[in-house]
Amino acid sequence: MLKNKHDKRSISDNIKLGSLTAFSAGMVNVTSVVIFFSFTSNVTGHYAILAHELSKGNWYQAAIVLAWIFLFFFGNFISNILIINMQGSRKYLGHALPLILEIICLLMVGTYLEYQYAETLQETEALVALMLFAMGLQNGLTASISNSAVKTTHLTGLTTDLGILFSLFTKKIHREDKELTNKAQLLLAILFSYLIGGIFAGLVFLEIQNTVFYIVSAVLGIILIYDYHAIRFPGVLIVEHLYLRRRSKKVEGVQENIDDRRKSA
Amino acid sequence: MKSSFISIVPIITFSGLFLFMISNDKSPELKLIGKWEEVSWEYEKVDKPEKNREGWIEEIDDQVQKEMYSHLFIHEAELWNFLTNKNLLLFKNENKHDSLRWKLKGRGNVLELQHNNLETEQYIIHDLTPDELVLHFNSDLQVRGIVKMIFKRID
Repeated sequence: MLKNKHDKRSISDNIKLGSLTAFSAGMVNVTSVVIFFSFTSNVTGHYAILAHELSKGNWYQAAIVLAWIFLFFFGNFISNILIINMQGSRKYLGHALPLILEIICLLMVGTYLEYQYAETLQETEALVALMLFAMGLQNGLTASISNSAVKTTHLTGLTTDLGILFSLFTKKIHREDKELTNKAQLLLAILFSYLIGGIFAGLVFLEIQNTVFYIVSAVLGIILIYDYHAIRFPGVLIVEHLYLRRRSKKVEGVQENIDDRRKSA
Repeated sequence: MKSSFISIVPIITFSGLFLFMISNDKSPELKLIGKWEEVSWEYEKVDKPEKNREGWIEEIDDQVQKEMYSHLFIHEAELWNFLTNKNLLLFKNENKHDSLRWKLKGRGNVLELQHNNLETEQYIIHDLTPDELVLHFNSDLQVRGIVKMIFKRID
């Protein structure tokens, strides 16, 4: 899921990454609405609120909303900085670090809520900021490594793309276009994962409260572990690579023999 | 050098704007502290569901109304005293008749009041100026305007 970048990514890579991150984003967003009365995985609404607060002259609240938007931006910024500066042998680490930071942020929020939260406005503002930063990290990571094919923290663009895709599917030529059907599959997977994540969080929050954040972290951990062998056991990959190369040479040799026999016959 | 500078422009711009805005205003928590007198209140359809003032209430079915009213507390002609220790004292005819806990949520736009029996009321702070406080009843059901209360500051 995290190993490959851009054109080296398969549709399966994108669907797996998109589904798991969208599921966690859905959970985070619903939980933040329940606890803080504020969205944390999307910023379009925050831009509208920023404009509204500015028009009312509420500088303090406008500043807070501006800070939230900035932290989402900053999460994207940090994610991509890590990705573009850690290439080559450190590529996997560069892709994993944004997720590790996101997990740390969410664990901090969950733990603080569990043991320290006194429900003051300042705490609420800071925790929402941390969650928006975490979601920025996630969105920056998925968008960057998938060449913007996977964006999982908000669904506005996705819904637009789906509308366009389904209008294209009214024509047979587009229905048979593998690239378009793959894209539709990916978008639907993200959409339903986000919804299911949100529903799941809404259902379990009443029972398990702040443990929801540990579940989200575990889901993100699956993404890390999935490709873990790539850095933990690089030798395995080398052996695998050598085996495949030898096998392909063998196949080529067999093919050459067949060709020779055909020629001599 | 030039490209690095371009990267930090948004950060510098944000920091400047943030400091400017935050230093020119008070937190909603601080704005709220003090005594507020209810001068106007509207409880649409609570007592007389058959009356149609706005035209929209008829579209809300009975189940939704019951759900909304189950979380609704009636406050009329009260004096609300928000204390710094997060206690809210309610007075009626100069006699204290209730004590609640208050907290702000969201960006300071949601007022949550908690009774001693842990029941809560939630209001959207529609306006909070030095002299006026306007509250709307907050419902998860996306229906707004069932309650509107206007307060004037008296201290």
